[in-house]
Amino acid sequence: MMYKRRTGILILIIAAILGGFQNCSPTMMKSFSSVTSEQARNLFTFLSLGSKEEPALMKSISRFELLAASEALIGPGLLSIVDIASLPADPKVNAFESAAVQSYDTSFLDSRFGFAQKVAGLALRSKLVVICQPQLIAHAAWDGCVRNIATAFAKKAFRRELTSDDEASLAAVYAEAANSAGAEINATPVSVPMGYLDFAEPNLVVSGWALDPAWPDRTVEVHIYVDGVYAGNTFANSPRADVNAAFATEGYTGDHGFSYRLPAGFANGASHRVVAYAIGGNGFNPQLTNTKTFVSTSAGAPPVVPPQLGVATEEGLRSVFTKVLMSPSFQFRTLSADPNFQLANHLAWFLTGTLPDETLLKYASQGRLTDRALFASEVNRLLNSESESFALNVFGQWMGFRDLALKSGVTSLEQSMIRESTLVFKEIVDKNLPPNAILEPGFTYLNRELSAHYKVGSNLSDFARVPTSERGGILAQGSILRVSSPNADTKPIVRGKWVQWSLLCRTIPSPSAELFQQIAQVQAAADPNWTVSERLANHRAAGPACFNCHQYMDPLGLALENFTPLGLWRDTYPNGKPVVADGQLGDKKFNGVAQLTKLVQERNDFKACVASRLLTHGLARPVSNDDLGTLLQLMGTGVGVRDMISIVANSEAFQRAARGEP
Amino acid sequence: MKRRQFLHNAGVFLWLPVLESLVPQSVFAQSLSRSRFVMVFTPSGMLMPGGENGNWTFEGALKPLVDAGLRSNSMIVRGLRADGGTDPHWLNTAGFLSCKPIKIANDRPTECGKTFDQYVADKNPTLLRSLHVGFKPMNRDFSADHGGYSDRYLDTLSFRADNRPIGNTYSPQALFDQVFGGGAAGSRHIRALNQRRKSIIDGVIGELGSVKRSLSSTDKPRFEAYLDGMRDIEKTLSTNINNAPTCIPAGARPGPTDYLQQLQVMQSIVAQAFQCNLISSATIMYDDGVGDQFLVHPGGDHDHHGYAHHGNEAANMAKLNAINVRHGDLFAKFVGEMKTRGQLDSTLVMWGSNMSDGNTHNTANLPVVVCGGGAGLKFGQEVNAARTSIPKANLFVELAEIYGLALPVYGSDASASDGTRIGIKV
Repeated sequence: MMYKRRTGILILIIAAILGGFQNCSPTMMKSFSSVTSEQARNLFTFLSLGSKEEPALMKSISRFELLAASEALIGPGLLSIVDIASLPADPKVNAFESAAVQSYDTSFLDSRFGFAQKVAGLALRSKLVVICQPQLIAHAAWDGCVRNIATAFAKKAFRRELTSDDEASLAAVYAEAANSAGAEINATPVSVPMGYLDFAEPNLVVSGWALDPAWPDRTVEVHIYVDGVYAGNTFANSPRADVNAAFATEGYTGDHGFSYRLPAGFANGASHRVVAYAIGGNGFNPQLTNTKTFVSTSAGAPPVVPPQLGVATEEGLRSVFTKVLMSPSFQFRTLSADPNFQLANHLAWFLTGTLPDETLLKYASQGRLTDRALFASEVNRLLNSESESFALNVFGQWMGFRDLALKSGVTSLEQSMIRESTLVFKEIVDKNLPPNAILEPGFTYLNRELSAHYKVGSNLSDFARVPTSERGGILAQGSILRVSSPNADTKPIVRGKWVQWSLLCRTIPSPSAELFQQIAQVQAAADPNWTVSERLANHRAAGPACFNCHQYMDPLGLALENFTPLGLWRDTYPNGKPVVADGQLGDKKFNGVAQLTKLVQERNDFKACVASRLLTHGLARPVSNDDLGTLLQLMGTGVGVRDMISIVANSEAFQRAARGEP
Repeated sequence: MKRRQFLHNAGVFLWLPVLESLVPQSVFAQSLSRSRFVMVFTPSGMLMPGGENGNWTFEGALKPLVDAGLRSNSMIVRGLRADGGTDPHWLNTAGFLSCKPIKIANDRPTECGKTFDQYVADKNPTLLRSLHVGFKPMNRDFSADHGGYSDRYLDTLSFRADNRPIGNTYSPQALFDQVFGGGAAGSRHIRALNQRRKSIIDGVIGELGSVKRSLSSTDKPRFEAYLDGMRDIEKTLSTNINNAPTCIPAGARPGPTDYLQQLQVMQSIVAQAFQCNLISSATIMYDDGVGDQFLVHPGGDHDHHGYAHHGNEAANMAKLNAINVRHGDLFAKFVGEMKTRGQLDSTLVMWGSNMSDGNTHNTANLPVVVCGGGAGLKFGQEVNAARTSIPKANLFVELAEIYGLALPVYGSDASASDGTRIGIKV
């Protein structure tokens, strides 16, 4: 019975291919080939499936995965998408970075190294990373807290257990870097006392700033003396914008403030005198300017300060973190040879776009992730909790709205549009809506800004669900209309190409040199007063070489001409001429985007495209002829989008891909 | 003595004992020979309506050269053609300096041909070898345009070997650090910092050794490329650690700037690197092979590629010309700085594009100007004024003679040289 249904779909698809699309001139179009009698093999011809590719071990995580993984390590709020804008864009195959392998060259690796150093610096300030207080001396010993910090960080970054070699390597890196910094300190006398004791408060908090002009980047240790007796040490690494501003011409950046709470015994109602010293090298420990006196009867809470690290400890840990972040065990998607950890990595990258979480890693280290039932329950758990990430990482990457955030000068409206698209796709996943919901969900998510922009919904402050037929479908989402119209004017050919590629998985090759000559002639004969619709109709009529490809692009792009580049509805152009949004898809005519939306939903190649895209990202490789069975399963009647994701994750092909088998 | 005095007057002080041993050979060589090469690239053609018969003259985009007094240092070469194939945006960017076709494949997306600048770098070894400057890393997905046409082909002008593309540096700060080691010369802390960085890279290279275990045949070349890249970073750090005191920056470490400023800062650093003899070749891309990212001015319009497809409309052509003139201005500044720093006699600086008329993707009669100092070449003249169609590869054959390289034939397939002489020598 299964076979019969599949054959039924087979016939429908072949009919769609034969009836809907004619060949462009054979010299140009490789993705359309005539259907031969081998129906099974040519089933998904338009997807240009090839034979299975050799899985790649030497595959780096993408810059988006790098950002997410770094945030998982150091905590939220310290990095943003802007931080990866200068990293080279990763190549994509069939809309996904996971299916491509980067080209490794010096500038790629250099950019990763720069990013690793940045994240290492932020890690030193993160309480998520510095999980205990190392000895408050210049060079804290490895054994104890420092070792715990280093191994916890490495274990999380490598998403596997550490070997004894890993630990030895971390210890060696720490020792070498800490010794190097220690030697530097000893060779660098503090030249001039540089610092100030600002306050000594009745709540026993002493604060000020200190820096070393001979080495402005480093953190200076400060010793506090009360009534001539040593009362404790602290490290001047809190932000002090006023200090940076005062030394703007010298270029002293970084954080040089300190805050320290004295021992409670000083809250005895007597008057006390406080001085502070900056600890330099070679015995130069100048007193910070200013002396304070205070009277206290009760100690306040200790001030919240960044992790306190001595100079050599800090440089030691900085090198440890940088090395971990540059290690192949972090930078490559899946390096482990253990099938449990392979599955944990592969599943995490697919469903969450970041490092596997503690639960996944726990099951992996218990050796239980290879159990299919447990694996399936993990798939469910992650789909339940991470559907928003999935919406942004996967649909955002495929449709293009994820990368809109990287546009220089991205506006608040565009950011809202990205969020709208994310929330719509999140609900499509959460409610297991059918693929057609991508085109016609019947709802969208709007905040006040978008509501005013689209003129839909009312009384909104933050994002809320708005039932509507006007917006929410992919062809009416502002983010997509923006992505497909990056300039001041719409370009129907670009939008038409977007629809073909993103919803129907078809590429349209560029014209050849000879064809460009023809184009020039046609352009020269064009009337400058024509609307874009008339202009495009003219050059579709210019000859079969033009028509054969433009018939697929222009109508789809023209259907979207009712939307400005920012997605506003218009019935006329700025020059007053009416927008004409009719066209033809295959042999079906349509008038306007609403009708086009219906036509696309009916097509089997739309369903096949959705299936193939999800499968591509799940397997992290292009779909091949061997995956036809899975594709058909994904396209089954009544299979919703969440079901599709689940089928991909639980498939045999997924298990093999995780193990690095073709 | 004269040269030292000249440099001193130019406001740059170099450590003399080191300098003596690094005097470029061109000072002693015959007037014909050169030892340094720079390629500067603008995408999508120039305003040359009429393509094959188009004009690239000392008016328009080349006028800034005239205004800077560099006309007598500039040689226009006409009639050069390249194979456009399916799309010269890809083919004639990655293939500009190699004159070879690009390899179309998803598994090995970047293979073209070893480029002329790298032959020059081989012949004249220096500490940093070569520098490669671009404007912005590419942010687009081109898999939708041509299957197997990696967007790296749009963003790469230089190949160290047929299958080893060299990526660009996009950030003035990164370029500054690469050349000057990250800070004031002689800074003990910068040296120690670079030492710690080098240790990290050494450690990662060591870890890579254990990855090598059982790599497939498709993974092995990727592994080699990764390892080579890491070694390059290590070598640069070593250079910085050992040699930072010998190359003192002319200004402070750059901060954030706009498009034109950013390129100007970076090409100035390249000129300084030549002066310190840290490199013998460089490529500078004013934009990627298509040109969607260009900003005429902050907040200005971006559509270089759109204007290049001008459709013979006057408004578009004017905007294209404005962009070309901006680039011409940048180019004249670079050539001028090389001259001021006394580097022009030993160097040839080429400016060209992957097309002549971008509207029709025409790759005949490409706009090419070669600038330099000294004698022996037809500076101040148009060469091949009749626009006889000659493969661009032939230019590299004749340049190879000047550089003392044994390259009697150049390029391959539809872009191969064919023995016709252009006649660039006096």
